[in-house]
Amino acid sequence: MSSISGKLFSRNRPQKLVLLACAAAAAFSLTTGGPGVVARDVKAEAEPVSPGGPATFRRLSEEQYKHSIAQIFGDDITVPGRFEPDVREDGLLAIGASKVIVTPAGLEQYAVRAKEIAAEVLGEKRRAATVGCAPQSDVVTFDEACASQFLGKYGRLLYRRPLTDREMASQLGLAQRATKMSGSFYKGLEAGLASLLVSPSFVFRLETTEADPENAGARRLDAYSLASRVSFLLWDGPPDEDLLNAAASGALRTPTGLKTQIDRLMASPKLEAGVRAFFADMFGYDQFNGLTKDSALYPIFNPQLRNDAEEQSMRTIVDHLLTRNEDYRDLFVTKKTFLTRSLAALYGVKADQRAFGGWMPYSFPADDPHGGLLTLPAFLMLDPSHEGRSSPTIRGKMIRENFLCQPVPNPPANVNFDLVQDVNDPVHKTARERLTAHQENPVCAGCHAITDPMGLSLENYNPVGKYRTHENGEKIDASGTFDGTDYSNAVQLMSLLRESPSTTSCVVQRVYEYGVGRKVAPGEQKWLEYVDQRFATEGYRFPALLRRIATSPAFQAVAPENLASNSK
Amino acid sequence: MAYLETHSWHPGFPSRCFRRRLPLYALLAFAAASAPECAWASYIGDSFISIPGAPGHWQGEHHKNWIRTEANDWPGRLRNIRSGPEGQLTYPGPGGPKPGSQGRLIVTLGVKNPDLARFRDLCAKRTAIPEMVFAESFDRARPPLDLGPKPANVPDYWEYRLKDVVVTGCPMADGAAEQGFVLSFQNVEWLNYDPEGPKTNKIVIQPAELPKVAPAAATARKKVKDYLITWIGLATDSKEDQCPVMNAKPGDADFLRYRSPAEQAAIRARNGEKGITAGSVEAENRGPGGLNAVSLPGVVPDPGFAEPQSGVAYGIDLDGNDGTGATPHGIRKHRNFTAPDGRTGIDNQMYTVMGCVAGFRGKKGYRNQTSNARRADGNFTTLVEVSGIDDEHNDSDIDVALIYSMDKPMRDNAGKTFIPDYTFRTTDDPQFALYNRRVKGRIVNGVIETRAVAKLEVNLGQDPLLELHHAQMRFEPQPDGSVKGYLAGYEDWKKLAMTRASGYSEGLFGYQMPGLFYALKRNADGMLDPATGEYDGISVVYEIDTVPAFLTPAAPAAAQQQSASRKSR
Repeated sequence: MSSISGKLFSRNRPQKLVLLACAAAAAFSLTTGGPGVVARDVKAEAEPVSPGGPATFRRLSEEQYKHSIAQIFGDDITVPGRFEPDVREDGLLAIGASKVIVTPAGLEQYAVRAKEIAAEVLGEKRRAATVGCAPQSDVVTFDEACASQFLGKYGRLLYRRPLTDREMASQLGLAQRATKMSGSFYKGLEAGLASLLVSPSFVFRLETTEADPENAGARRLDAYSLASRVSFLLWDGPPDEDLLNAAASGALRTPTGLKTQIDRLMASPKLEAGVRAFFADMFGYDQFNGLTKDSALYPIFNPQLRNDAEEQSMRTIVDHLLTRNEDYRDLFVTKKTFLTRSLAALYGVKADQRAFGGWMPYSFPADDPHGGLLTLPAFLMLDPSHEGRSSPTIRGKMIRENFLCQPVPNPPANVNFDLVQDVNDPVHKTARERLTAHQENPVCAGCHAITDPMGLSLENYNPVGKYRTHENGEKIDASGTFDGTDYSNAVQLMSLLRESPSTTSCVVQRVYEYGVGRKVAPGEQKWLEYVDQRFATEGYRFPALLRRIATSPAFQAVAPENLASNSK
Repeated sequence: MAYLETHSWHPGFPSRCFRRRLPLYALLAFAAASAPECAWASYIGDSFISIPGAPGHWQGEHHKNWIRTEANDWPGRLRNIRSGPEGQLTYPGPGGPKPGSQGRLIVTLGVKNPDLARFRDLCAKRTAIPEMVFAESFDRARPPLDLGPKPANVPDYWEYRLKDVVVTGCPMADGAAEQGFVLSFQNVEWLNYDPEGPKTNKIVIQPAELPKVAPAAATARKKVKDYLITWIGLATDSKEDQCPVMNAKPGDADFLRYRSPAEQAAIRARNGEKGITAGSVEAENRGPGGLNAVSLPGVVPDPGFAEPQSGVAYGIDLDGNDGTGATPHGIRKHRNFTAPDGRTGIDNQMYTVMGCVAGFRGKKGYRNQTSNARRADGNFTTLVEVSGIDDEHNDSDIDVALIYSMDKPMRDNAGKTFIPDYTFRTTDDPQFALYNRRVKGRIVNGVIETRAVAKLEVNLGQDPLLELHHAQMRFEPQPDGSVKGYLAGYEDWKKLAMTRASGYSEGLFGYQMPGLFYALKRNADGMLDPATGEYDGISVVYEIDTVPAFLTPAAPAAAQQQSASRKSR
């Protein structure tokens, strides 16, 4: 079994090294020694100054849009229409969000959505509570003071900053014209609100910067942009009134004020939504949309099981990291999870009453072949490209990329996959045998040497995550070597992954990239290594990691160029 | 009071009179009112007549010196019976017409009945009989899907006093086993049922006493294994070459055999080229003198019945005899089958009867498929639980239970494959929980066998309550972790015949009711009635398929939700 050193994937090394490694791997000794992505001096040291990176301009995700509407207007407001697909860049949708555009069709959807939301918000049932002021005279006369109050309040919440005078004047003018045309003051406000909802200032998170008074020549996010970064990181939603007030008052600029707000946000139940959104992005859970398997081969698979699997992993993560505030690394080995009736059937265990329509806490026995995130069906089934078989290559690639931050290039366009895909091959009965034969092609061998060993170790779990010992009557060999250490099955591999520095440095990197919406800039490495060390000294507690990143000056530092210029 | 009543047609039951009661409480007495549909209006089986001053020849344990009849039918639209407000408790009460009514009662007497001559004489002379008492079995008169034990204050036989009776008809078909007699009466009085009067058998509703059969708990030493039943149906599969001739529905020749030329012409004219529709009144009333040959099948001669030509059948050796040596007491000498796995002495006379009836032909049979389709939809989810297992290969003392669940079986997206390993909650719904049952058994070389139990009642949902006598189960483990096996015993063949006494079913499933009647009677091999010397039971085998599953007790809250859900259904 071959393995590759974590050093190959160090964030200090350019990714093209990986490409070189793949191309040359047939002749490349992949085992170069012990693990070690980052030099680890765990002694406390002062936080390095980070130059930051470019500010970003990001489209709200569907969830962020919905969280915004729910937070501002109430969670019973319907958010209609289809959202345009997100784009994954450098491992995260959060990075891809600054690479997307709004197509004409997408704009149409935003417009329809804005009109319907505005109509619901200002409907007869809600308007008294929402508007907050009564028109001076009858409702057909435009009351500028009341309209200003309404548009000012919601404009600030939607734009995540106060409206400029020009924006306010424009909105008032629109509302006034609409009032006149419709003969209804509330219809006028509705037009104004719809205009706010369709505005790029709402749909996109446009970060603005200011000079950093503490570092001459440096720039930083302005207070409102910082408020947005913090709230979207922690809540996956916009800043609330308190946070915007802290930005307006300058309190957010003081270490104490910032800490106070971070503490408040982290104490909120909305933190769970933020954590869920982050891990859904990091682990590629957008691929659950429409995920299907061949039900003739895997009759247990259905949309319910798919949804349960996704939610199971999220519950496991939230329970482990937030509820119990446990070591992040233990996510890879934890025996604790939650089951529904469907998932219990997948595992072949008895469900109790709680699993019927709900969730039942469950601990796998110590000798059970399940334990840790990568043995949960969410990971094991998350392969949209293979409905009828498991793909050790895809699984290995996902571990490398999503859990260890080690990008693997796509295969060449002219590869013949027939041998790998023929699960009925009478000669090559197991995936290992088929892939071994496939790797006789040196063009393929390099990358497969990186991805396959770990993926093959998960072959004891079929494409929907059910444990198996044999494939086509042949006993599955799940052994391998990771970072120079031999293992015999997936559970042992999980323990090795738990101990890998790449596992923890990856989540540190991803949280930061997710928060700033771009790939780590070269100048930020030292700071990131510092955070990595602090993560270790703080027992790999995820909330502590979030707090450290959110409160760090690095999180608001902006490199001189003020435009989004992520990788590529 | 969660009683639901449905009035709908289901394949296999007389379409003209169908009712299902879903009792959530046992019934302990009667109340009465009127209901829109009839109770069971006829049945095959004994009823009795007493004519004052003229004792009959019946010498059985009950109704001694009465006149025994073989089948009866209250023709025409019947009194409606219902108790309690709409949607609540219903109870059919007697099937006879409303007190004070005039009407007709048709009874049949066997051709060897010593009272036959007297009835023929009454018929010939049109002698007026001032009064007679007619007693019909509560058990046989119950609606076919009625459930629950007989309330304590309900008599075994309903009794009616018929007044001013004249035997107005007594047609006899050559070769028939029974002769029908039409008793026309001017008035009827109910003798042991008077729900509205002072001597009422008024209903008192009490919670049903459910058997305490909870899921067994596994221990370090005693294993428990649960299996979801995915198929249960008569083990009557036959290969094509085993039925050179299949049974067929009756045709126009059968419908018109006892009609006069004028009647034949009129019926042909009415029905035109399409012919007579099976299930129509004129199709059912095809017996001599227009008697109903479906509900009173003994009044016509045996039209013959195709039976499979095979010595191999699934099942269990119920009587401990492989056909050699002396036939055990209470068992009629019969053909013993050999199981596909080589076991001999298999008792499955129902295979002989149903093996060549398309609709009931094991897994190919449409009737069996429809009931199992409803099972698959979760209408009567049932699990087999094997508990107390020390050794899965050989264990002399285990328990085997049939336990009902409130949960639906899970199937793949195409609805074809049952998903194993799901957990099922028990149900507290009495229509099912009443029939949870645990019996003793053993494991021999991996095969699970239960000891014979005198009577085992199983709610098959769409079918009438299955009452198996001398019942046994046998399950063999399968490579996929499931078990396959049989539930076998003796069923009252007359009750079985009643459930098929439908002209519509004849047409749908392909048989002639009189032929089925005689085939059942001919193949009955158990449950000897010492009073008649006849065999009341026929050996039947139900084939059972399963998938591995788990069983868990339902929490009280879940049971309440389930109850509410059923109420609103």
